[in-house]
Amino acid sequence: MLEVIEVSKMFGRNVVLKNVTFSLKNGILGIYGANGSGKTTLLKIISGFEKPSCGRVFFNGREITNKAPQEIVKLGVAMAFQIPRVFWNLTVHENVLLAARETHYTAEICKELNLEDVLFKKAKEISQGKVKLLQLAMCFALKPKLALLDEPFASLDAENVEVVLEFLKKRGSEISMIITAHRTKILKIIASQMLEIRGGKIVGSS
Amino acid sequence: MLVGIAIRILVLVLLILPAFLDCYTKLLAASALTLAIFTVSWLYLEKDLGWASLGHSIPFGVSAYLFAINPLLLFFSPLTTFLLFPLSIFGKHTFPFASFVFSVFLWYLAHHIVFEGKGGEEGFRAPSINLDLIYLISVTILILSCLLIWKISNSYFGLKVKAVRDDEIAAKAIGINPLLFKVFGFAISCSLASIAGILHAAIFGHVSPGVFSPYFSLFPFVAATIGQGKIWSSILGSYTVVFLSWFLSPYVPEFHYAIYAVALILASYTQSYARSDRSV
Repeated sequence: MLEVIEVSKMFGRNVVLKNVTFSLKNGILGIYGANGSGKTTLLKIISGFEKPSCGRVFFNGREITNKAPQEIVKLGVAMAFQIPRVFWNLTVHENVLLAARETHYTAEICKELNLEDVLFKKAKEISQGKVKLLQLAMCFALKPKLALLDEPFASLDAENVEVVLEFLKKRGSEISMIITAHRTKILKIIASQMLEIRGGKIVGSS
Repeated sequence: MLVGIAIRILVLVLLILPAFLDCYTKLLAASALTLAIFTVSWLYLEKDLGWASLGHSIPFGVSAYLFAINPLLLFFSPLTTFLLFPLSIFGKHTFPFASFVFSVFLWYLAHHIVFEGKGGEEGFRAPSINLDLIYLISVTILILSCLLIWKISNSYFGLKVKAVRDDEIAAKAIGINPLLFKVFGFAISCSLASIAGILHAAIFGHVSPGVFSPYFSLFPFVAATIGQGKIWSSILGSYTVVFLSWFLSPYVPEFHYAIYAVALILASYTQSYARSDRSV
């Protein structure tokens, strides 16, 4: 499904990713590493929000390396950002509706992700934890084939971590995912494969 | 809610009453009407798209000039979008200044536009249309403009426009191409501003470099600030500025600048989508 071939990324002289190569056929891939190891940059390159300095990315046999993010979304790759990118002046319902394009599925996703109590509040009026859940709802409302989740458990309390874990487990059979995290503890519960990234390079896999 | 209803009734009275009054009052009301359309066009750009233009006289004035030079050129007036839209490259924070600077540049340039021996500082004569007819057309266009903007704003398409306003990256992340929606939004706003410019030229039968002056560049911003960003109140704001300026200018010359100064101070307290930003 996804092939990342010798992807490197430099910001000026700073090498963030170096010859990263891996593939994902299906299932949930967990990528863990310290702050600044290159996890977010890798996901942004796959989703089209960053262009690699060199290397190529293929999705379902089609090269997506230099495609615009909105085109990659249409091919079935959706991203949930570490720092949520939502529409702050629109309601939670409107945010999810824009991604889902139908009211029934919007309601279903919001219910599963514990957003019913804030459905008609504006995104700027809800807590950071709820914004994180909203970001996830928008990502999965697109019905992607591959979901890229950058630190989905950060800023969540224990109750909402459980909600998200249940949600991801349920969706894991239909949707492939790449999930990044600092630590392996939560990833081990859900991921079928793991990659460790350090200094922009893949140093271990299991 | 009661205040909202009262404002709507007052606006309707202001639209209907002048039709039965003397020529001078009707002329004044027609001017306020075209500037109200102008303000509505500005408000759509600021509220739904998040771009506060201080150079909205660009589509307004260019269309007035095109109409004056040759009435058939009015069909090209929506293309004024491509005079204002490229300035968005400077970003939302710098766009107001860039648009203002460009409008001042056009103000200067207009002094040197000469066509068939006419123009320059004196400007051009525009086709003059019967005042009653132009008044009726202006009222119709104002109502249709408000309905159009309300319809677009509350549609799924309008929701996408607002999404692009809030966060272009988030829009791309859900498959929306921000460029298309920005161009569309600018086109709607500039087209309405162009219509206002053409009506203005038709009412007065004349167009001069003054259409690019700061009076017109800043007018919709001032009227919308007085109206606190709401359509009906902003229409009332347009009437307020025009009537106050015309009635008080004999006693306090250039009185409208005093109104502009007050509006600029008030602007920092009123809600503005162009400035709204949640820092994460």
